[in-house]
Amino acid sequence: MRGNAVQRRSLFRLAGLVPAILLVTILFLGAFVFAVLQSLGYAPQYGITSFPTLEYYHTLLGGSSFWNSLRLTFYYALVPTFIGAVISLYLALSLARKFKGKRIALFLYRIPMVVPYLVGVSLVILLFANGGLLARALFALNLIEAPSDFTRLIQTESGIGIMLVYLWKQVPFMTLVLYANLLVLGRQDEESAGLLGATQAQIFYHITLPKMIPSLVTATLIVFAFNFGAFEVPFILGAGFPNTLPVEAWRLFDSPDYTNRPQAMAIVTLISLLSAGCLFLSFYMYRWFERTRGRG
Amino acid sequence: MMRFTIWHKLFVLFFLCCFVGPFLPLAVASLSFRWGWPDLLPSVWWWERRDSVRSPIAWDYIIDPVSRVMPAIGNTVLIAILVTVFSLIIAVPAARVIARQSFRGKSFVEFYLMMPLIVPEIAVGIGMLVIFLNIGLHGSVFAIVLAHMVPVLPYTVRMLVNVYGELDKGLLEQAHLLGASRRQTLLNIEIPLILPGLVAASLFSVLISTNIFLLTFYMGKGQVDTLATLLFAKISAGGALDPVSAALTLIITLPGLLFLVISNRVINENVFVGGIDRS
Amino acid sequence: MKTGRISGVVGGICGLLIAGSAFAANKTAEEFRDNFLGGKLSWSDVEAAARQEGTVNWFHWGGSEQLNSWIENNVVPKLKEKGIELKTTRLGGTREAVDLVLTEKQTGLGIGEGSVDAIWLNGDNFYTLVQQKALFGSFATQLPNSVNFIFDPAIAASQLNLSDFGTPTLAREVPWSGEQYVCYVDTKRLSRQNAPSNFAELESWLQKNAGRFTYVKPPHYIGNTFVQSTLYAFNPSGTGFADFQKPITDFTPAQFSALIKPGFDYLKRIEPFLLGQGTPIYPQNQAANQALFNNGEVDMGCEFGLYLVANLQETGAFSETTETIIFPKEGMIKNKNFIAVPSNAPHPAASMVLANILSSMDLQLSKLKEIGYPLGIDIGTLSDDQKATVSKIAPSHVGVTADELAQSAVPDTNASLVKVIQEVWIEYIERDSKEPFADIVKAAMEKAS
Repeated sequence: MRGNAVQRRSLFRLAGLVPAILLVTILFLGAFVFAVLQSLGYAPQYGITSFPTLEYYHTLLGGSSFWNSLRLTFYYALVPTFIGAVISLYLALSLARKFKGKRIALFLYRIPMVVPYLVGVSLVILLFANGGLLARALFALNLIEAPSDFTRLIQTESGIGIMLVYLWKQVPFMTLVLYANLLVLGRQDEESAGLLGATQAQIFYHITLPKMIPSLVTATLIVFAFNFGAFEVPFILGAGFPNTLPVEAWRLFDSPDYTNRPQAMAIVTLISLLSAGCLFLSFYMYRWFERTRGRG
Repeated sequence: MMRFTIWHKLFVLFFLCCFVGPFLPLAVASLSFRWGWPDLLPSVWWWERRDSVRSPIAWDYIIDPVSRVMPAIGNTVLIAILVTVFSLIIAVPAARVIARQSFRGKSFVEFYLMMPLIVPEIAVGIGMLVIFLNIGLHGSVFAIVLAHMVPVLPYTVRMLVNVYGELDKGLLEQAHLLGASRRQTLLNIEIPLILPGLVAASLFSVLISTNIFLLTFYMGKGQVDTLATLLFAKISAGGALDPVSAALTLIITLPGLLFLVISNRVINENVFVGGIDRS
Repeated sequence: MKTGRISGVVGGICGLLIAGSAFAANKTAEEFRDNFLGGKLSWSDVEAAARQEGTVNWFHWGGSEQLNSWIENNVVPKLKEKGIELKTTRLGGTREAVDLVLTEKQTGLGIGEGSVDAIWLNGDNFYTLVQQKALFGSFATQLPNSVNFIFDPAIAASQLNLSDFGTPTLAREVPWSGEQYVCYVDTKRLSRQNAPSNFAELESWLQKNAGRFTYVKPPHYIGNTFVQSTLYAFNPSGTGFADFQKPITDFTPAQFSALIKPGFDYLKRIEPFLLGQGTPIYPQNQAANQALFNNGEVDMGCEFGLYLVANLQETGAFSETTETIIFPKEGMIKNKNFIAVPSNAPHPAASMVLANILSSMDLQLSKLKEIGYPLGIDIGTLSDDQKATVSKIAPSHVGVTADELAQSAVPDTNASLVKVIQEVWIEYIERDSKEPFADIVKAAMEKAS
């Protein structure tokens, strides 16, 4: 009797969790399970009742365009993450020093972080299109003769425009994470090392960088995961074909032929698995790395 | 010895110019009428033609009711407020339990509530859209609000768990011992104590909601305009950035700027790091 | 308390998820449909029913600020006089509205219960609605303003009203505007004399001016149309557009492959000389193509737009030296676009009033004058006075005359062929498939059926 009452009370204690769990279960898990089911051939509303089948995965993985898109998705996601991490590290270290106008600098650098990605897209179109301001400046300097002489940066497979938007939005974010981390960590170790005669490079590689690694890892993982699943930036600034997996998924989903939808669902299922897989893998690699260094 | 050398100065200046500089030509573009190759400044300005063309152009179009920018701003704000209110109503009890109680499977619950952040938005979005289409909920503000809550909730829960974690439990116990009712404790002690955390979480929620494009686009199905969908409709057509698109881009940065100004006053750096990646 | 309420909301959603599609069609709307299509209602009955409904939801492509303003300032007040509030939804692509109609139909929403009353469309969107049996019925001939159209098949001008990309309209949509595929050049960069006027000239011009031209990428309809006119020009039977009026079911894969092969070979041949020189760049839509043109990256652009040059000079997008040219002389595709009413229109009576008002002389003339959208009504039905007004208020074609345009006009391709052609283009040109051409065509035909 008494045990029962305690149990009931303890369940009641947890009642606060119910709405949150329900919301995530219905909207998030429900949506995801739905996508997986459709990718396996459960879509009676489009006259598809071949559940369970791996047919859609077979078609997808059998075609070359999937692998091409996958390569691009990784490429567009990884390059700006790494370049951004390097820039952010140096930027955070610079901002952590004392200088005139620091307050205003700390305000300004955050602006890209708080605006939608679409703003970055607008700016890239304005500046880096073939007839954009950069090309015009080069023309004014007689460096190019026509817009077609300007290297194509947007709506092309090289994806420079896409990666520029990511950098513009994400360097401030990574800088912020690193900067906040620097504030917490303080600079005492560096200062004492300096007094003991260590060079700037030694201080950076042996003291500052190792201290920053945890927050650097967090920041890059967040950024990578976002880039991997991003839609609007590659949709607008990417090549018509081939493009990233999220864009291909949307194209298939949006096609007038409803029988393409399970194929789209197969792509989103794979994106989710890949993205989650990458996150866990890097997380465990990082843990392993920490352990071998005798921490963690 | 941690001096701010000339290199640091150039480095910081260069990146600040990259971050903020492009807004200047953007403002110029919003004021132009024709700005063709290879002109470095518009050859014809908006105000030179605004009386001679029949339809409103550039900023005239933006403020004209026909552009529906005002309702879009209204929707954007309404959605952000509803998302924030609902998320807090759901997140506060959950965070309270997570921070205060220990129970079996707690770390799983914490992980489960964070899961929407691991899966890309497009995966959730497409699946959710199919569900909403089936139940006829698509194309409404309510559908968008529900969709936005999925990425917003994990952040609000995480931020509030931290807030409750730092809360001095002793104070609540003392109040209890002194004979305060549960209700009194809640209203007079607990809520005032978590208020700064609530404000920070609300600001975040508003920021994330105003910046989400994909879920709004899917769930709105062209029937609910927000600033983000209006801008997407303009620039996804490809081509050059016309004055209306430039003006819309300027307007859509306002919530973020407002956020920075307010948060500069009320939030410290550490709370900030909580969850900006979605913005 | 709070938690309880929210659980209630969540529970409600669960309930919604479970609840099936047990909807019955709306009685009043059903009666109206049957009586109206049966010819049992006078127009004043229709207007009275429309006033009862009070609202009408019109879905239209919303990419033109001029058009949006014109609708707001002209159509809205006209409907208000009839006691109807016009609610417009601006679409990025018309397919969104078609999708919505079909989704709602699948969920079992019938007449009076959907959310789309009227859609501005043509071509494959109409074809899709026909195939899915999602249209209201043969209403166009019942509208008082149907006198502004020629529906008599004996008169040649009726063809554009009776057939929409080869699909018989059967009065299930009413014409709203007409368009013709044209090309434009900036005479400062490319003089009219040097501009190509047929596909052979385009090829030799491109060989001398590599990279100075491209076309919008299929499956965008602007791109499809360019490909179609190429196929007309290279039709091995020499009959141009004629073979392309038949539905796909009239062809074996081998026949169709033989019909389109020469045209596609031409497109393949010119590919290395298109913008990008080697890695061809196909803009996604007309706006992107215009940007390439304005930046001086290409010297010529093609899209639908009898008054395009005049309109874009007005907004500042095109320079004053831009002019329309006749290209290709072999045949410039001409079609009409329409107002269709779906089978699950929530306000069927009001949608009839909207369709009627849009076909009125007043609004048709105003649309032509104010925003340069060509007439949907037929010139042949106009009095001499009205004809004179039209030629007075119409914007200029800038560089060509209406007669020249009319001489080169050819009809559009059958919608069932368009689907196959765009699929072949994607495989053969964009994805550069190495499969034999006949196999690509065969696969595309199988996919489309």
